This record gives sequence, structure tokens and C-alpha cells, in this order.
Amino acid sequence: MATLQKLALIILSTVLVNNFVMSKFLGCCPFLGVSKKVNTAVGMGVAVTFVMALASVITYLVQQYILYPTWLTALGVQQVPDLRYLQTIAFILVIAALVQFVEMVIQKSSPALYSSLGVYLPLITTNCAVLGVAILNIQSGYNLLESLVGGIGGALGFTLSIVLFAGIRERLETADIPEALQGFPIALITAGLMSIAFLGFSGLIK
Amino acid sequence: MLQAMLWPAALLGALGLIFGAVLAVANRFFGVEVDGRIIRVRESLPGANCGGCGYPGCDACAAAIVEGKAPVNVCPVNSAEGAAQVAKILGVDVADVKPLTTFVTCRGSLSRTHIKYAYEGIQDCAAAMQLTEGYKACRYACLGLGNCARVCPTGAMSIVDGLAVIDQDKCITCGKCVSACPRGIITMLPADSQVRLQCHAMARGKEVRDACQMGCIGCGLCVKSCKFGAITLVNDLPVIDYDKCTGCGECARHCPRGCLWRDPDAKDRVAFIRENQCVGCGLCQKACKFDAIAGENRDKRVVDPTRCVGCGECQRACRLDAVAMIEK
Repeated sequence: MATLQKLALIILSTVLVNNFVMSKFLGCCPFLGVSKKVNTAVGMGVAVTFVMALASVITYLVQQYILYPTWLTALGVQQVPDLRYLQTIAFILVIAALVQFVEMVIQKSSPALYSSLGVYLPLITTNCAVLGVAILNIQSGYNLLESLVGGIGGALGFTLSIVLFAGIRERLETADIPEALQGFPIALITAGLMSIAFLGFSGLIK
Repeated sequence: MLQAMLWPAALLGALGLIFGAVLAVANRFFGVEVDGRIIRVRESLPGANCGGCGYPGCDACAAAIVEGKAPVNVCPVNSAEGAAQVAKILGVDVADVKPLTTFVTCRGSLSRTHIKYAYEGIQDCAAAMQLTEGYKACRYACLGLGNCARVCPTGAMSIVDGLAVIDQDKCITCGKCVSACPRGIITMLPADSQVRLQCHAMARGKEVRDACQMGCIGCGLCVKSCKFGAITLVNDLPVIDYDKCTGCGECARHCPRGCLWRDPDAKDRVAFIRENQCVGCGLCQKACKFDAIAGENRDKRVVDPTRCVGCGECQRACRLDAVAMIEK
């Protein structure tokens, strides 16, 4: 019961309170780049969810068993090398390879899914939100299941904010905006206002 | 100290190697066999992923071309050499498919059409259409608020006196303006078409006359004047069948409203029969639909330049290459 409660809390926290885009400002590039239409925003969200869930599991395993292999002591190794400071570079490597691999598998096994994710899948390779979720999971001391839930929650939060933002931007298209603010300026102001709105969720969990 | 430097290098090197190996192996098991022609066609395309062909990106376009779902020159941006290269890869003839050009089928500028009211709303054609079908009296007219100009990637579209104008030198015929225009005024026509309709009003006589000085009234004189049956009236507008059109321009000469555009660079041509080659067979005379060739029996035939419209039918009919088309 306590586990379920904690998992629910993680989901709530990553989706709303600690939303990756809105309160941690990670993944701003696709957030601004791929948010002109709701359809593409949803596609991006699905792709990110897919990759984040996988990445948080794999990076957890890499951190636990490769970067600081304490299990070697059982085999009689006296001095286990502590390479956890290589976290960032190792994770990027893992995520990049993972995305390539996933892309290959999807193309083979499910061409329909492949064509619907389209160009977004390779774009996510260097998405800082994916790296962010991996590192934050480790910092929060999550176990394997919690990392997975944390990854999915973070991705859902990303999807939520990018789809909302795309909806607003679609409406802005026909709005009467002062000339100096048309295009990116008004998008950035909107993003800022959305971020302030999400700040309101910080009182949700006591 | 040395160990502290070696460990990370070894670890990252090993990780990189392992991932590389895994991907290489995975490629063998999961790699999808792609038709080699798709890759080569893809390389002959511009690679801008502009979507002008209607497919999502150049990869999808290349796949469609190879599968035969799209013509080799479906890419509107690709150069003639590029299209020829694609055709060579697939072993088809590029001449079968004709290049297109964009054309504005409206001449209702602010000074030529009647204005119902001063529109001061959102500067967007679709928005302006919401209000009594636009501020111009003709409900088919170009609204001149520049939806087409905004989507044009090369800046070839501009609005002059409330009317869209295309700079053909800059136009890459990507077709974005065609889909951006809420009135459907911009069309894609064969680039070598000699006659084009410059009106879009699906109405007749008085309604058009009251709205615009330039509009087509659907009188049908062009249909009657065309000796080749290339023009039919559909929705009170002439539709030109470019497979039948010879470009003689008779329809444009007969149009009382001057709605039919003729290529201004095209010189008026007239047939000329070389005496020394003519044997008097009379095939050209039979082919002429304008009674412009005179002569009897085995006489050498003579062209009456006042009647000849330069359609070229006689030239096509002559088996001895005795007919030449010369400038008037």
C-alpha cells in the first residue's frame, strides 16, 4: 500500500508540481519548436513518453551495475572503482544508442508506429528532458520501479504542457497581436504565463 | 592516479564499443531492406523536406515515386535535371510528364471590381470571407489580404492593388499558395499552356457584370470559336482541355471580356508553304479548320495569312515537311 501511495505521489509530482518544462525548464527546445499544431505536439509527446520510460529503466541499471559496480565485491574485488561522476556522459551515450536501437526495432516490427512517430524519434536523442529524468531519478534515490514511474510521469507532464501550449498557439494564430510581438515573442510570453500557472500546483503536495 | 584516469577512459570506450556492436548486430536482424532505387531517387531530390509534393518529407516522396504512386517530377522544387535523373533511375521517360506553373485566376483588383464596404478586420483572407463573403462585390474574387504571400517560401507572391501577383522568376511551383488560398483562385497549369482563364466567377451575365469589370460572363463564345473542341463550359466557366488546345488563340480573340490570358511572349504565328517542297496533295487544306489554305487539284497550295490563326494543324498534316510556321 505504501509503495502504491509513493508511486501515485511520484506521478502527481512529476506531471504537475515538478513538471519538466514548466518548473524545471528542461526540454524547452521541442516545447517551443514542435508546438505549432496540436497533432504534431501529441506525436512528439508520445515519442518522448516512449523513450523516457525506456531510458529511465536502462540508465538506472547502468548507474547501479556499471558506474558503481558494488556487486563486484561479492566476486572478491577489493577496490570497486566509483565512476558515478561520469553519469552525464555515460547516460547521453546510453540514450543515443537506445533511441537508435528502438528506432530500428520499431521500423522492423511496426511500420505504422514508425511512420506516425516519424521525424520526432531521432530528435529526442539529444532532448535534455530525457537526460534530466535519468539524472533526477538517481538523485531522488528511486528504485527500479519508481524510476520507471518517474520517467513515465515526467513524460506525461511534458506531453501535457506541450499539448496545452500547442492549443494556445493555434488560437494565437488568428488573434490580433501587436506586430512587434507576433511569432516567437508572444510564444515565449505565453510559455512564461503557463509556467506561472503551473507554479500554483506547488501547494498541492504538503 | 594513472588508474583514476584509465578507468573512465576504459569504461566509456567499452560502453561505446558495446553499443556500437549491439547496433551493428541489431541492424543485421532488424534492418529493413530498403529498395535501392528509393535511396538513389532520394539523393536526386532537393532534400529540403518542404512537403510541396504532398508527401511528408523527401523520403516518403522518393518511396511514392519508386512505387509508381507519383510521377517522377512530382517534386515541384526539383530542377529539370533532377527530374531527368529520377526518370533515368526508374527507366521511364521524363517527357511524358509536363512541368507545371502557378497561375492566379482573378483580375479583380481594387480599381476594377466594386467594393461593398471598407474591411478593417483581421488581415487574413479566410477571416475576411466570414463577413458577407468578402468585401469585394464578386464573391469569387481575390481578397488580397496575402494568405498566399505569407506561405510563399521564396517571396514570389505579392499583393498589388488588392490582387495576388506571382513573380514567375522566383516561383518554385511548390504549390503552397494553392492550398493557402481560401477562395481557390490560384491553380497549377501546364507550364507550356498557351491560353489560360483569368476568372473564377461561377456565375453568369448580370451578376458578374455588376460586380467586376473583368469577369467571365459565361457567354460561351470561346466554346463556339474553338475549332478543336478543347473548351467546354462548366459552372459558367470555360474549361480548357490542354491535350486538345493548339494554342491558336482564337478563343482569346473572341472573348468579349478579355478573360483569356495568352502568353505575352508568344508571337502570333502564321503558316507558310514552301513552294519547292509542295506537291499539291491537299492534305494541309483538309486539315485547316479556318479555310486559310487555297488551291485546287495538283496546284501548289497557298496560305491566306489574314485567315490563318497559326494553330499548326497543316504543319502536322503535311507529310513532306513543306509547311513552316513563321512569325507574322
